[in-house]
Amino acid sequence: MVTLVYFVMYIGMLILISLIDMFIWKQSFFQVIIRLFTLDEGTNEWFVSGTAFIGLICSIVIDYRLRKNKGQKQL
Amino acid sequence: MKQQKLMEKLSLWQLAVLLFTFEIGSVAVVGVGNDSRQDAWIAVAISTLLGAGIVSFYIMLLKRAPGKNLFELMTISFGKWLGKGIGLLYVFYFFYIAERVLRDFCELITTVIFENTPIEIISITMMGVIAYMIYLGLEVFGRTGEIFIPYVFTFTILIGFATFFSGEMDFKNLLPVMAEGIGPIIQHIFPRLLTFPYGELITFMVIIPYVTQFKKVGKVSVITVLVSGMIIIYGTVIEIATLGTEQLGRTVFPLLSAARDISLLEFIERVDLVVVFIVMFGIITKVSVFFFAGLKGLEHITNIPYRYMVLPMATIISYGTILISDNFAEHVEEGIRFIPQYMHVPFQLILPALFAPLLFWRTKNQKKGSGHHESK
Repeated sequence: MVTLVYFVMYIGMLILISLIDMFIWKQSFFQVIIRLFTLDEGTNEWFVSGTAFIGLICSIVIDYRLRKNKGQKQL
Repeated sequence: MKQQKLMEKLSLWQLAVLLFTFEIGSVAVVGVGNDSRQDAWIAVAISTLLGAGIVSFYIMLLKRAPGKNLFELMTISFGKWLGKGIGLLYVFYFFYIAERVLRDFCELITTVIFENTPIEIISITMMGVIAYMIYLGLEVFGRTGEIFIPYVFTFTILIGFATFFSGEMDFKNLLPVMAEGIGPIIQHIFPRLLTFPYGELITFMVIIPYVTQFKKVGKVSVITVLVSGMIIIYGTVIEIATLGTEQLGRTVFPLLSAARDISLLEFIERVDLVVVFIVMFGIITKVSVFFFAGLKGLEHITNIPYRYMVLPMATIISYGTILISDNFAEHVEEGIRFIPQYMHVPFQLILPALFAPLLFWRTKNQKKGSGHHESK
């Protein structure tokens, strides 16, 4: 469930940021999305992309532990 | 999964501290009412009074169902599914504003102190601290505020006096008063000044149910908003008197620029770092409140205790902080052209105004019967 929440929030935030960029820059949705995912040269955007990936791994681990605890309680 | 009920409590003083630091958080970074030029302090004063009204409205809604937070009130008003759907929109709103506030701070830090440090590192480390504090709980958050508030308050007051005694202030910059009448001031108050910072207090609809003396919350909140409003007016007057309206219009971080002019006895200089301290604490509080409110929303929607989601959501916020705009100019542009009209107004004013009649209708029979179990 935590992983699902992670994906919902991640995709939702991306769509929200894209909609605002579309409004400000008068660009199409795809142009904005491509611009968001492109790692600009000379920046360290991969730091935060990496951190977000760690967040995904954490949410998978948390889900696994929650499921394991639930299984043990049922026994 | 069975929801673990949060048993944490905040005292009235802790609530007041959080409200105060929340209010002066971003305002200390970017300033408010600069469009009203030398009349900015009047605009802030009027919006403070209106802000006190908004807070009273939020608390009136909370008092209809004591112990219930914003998300639970929406479920009461709109029903389970629609309530949770609108709750999810509020979660997006809270997280997005948390990203914006954090970006303000990251830009300030990379401009003033850590010029060679990547903004991404500031974002990740700040969010790490905030996530840790929120993971430890609301009480820890409240106590952190209690510890730092004397310094924040004292430093804020001292900056004004230091600027004055440095001879940098020229009160003629405040003249002429309302040269173009009240019209332009009113235009700037709605929606920008009313929604930022006062309307943002809607996040406290998630925190206030955890305050021990619920009966006194209304009075304490309104007084705190008025006090923080006075401090914001004080800061605005410092900025206008020190920088003048022309320079104020050009500067990115007004209070910081004003503090840079302080020079007492040719000895006390570079006190802008004190401003950075005030801002840092304000921003930590503000991002934490938005983050906590969003997490409580997710807890309400998914029935999973919010602590499980602190780390994954913190990484999304630090990611979004960098993604929301390519540079500070774009960030400010979005903050002026889009956020107040299309995000703040619907979430701070329209939606609460929509669910208020429904809430009154749904709770009209319960109100007399049920006691005020939270109040003491």
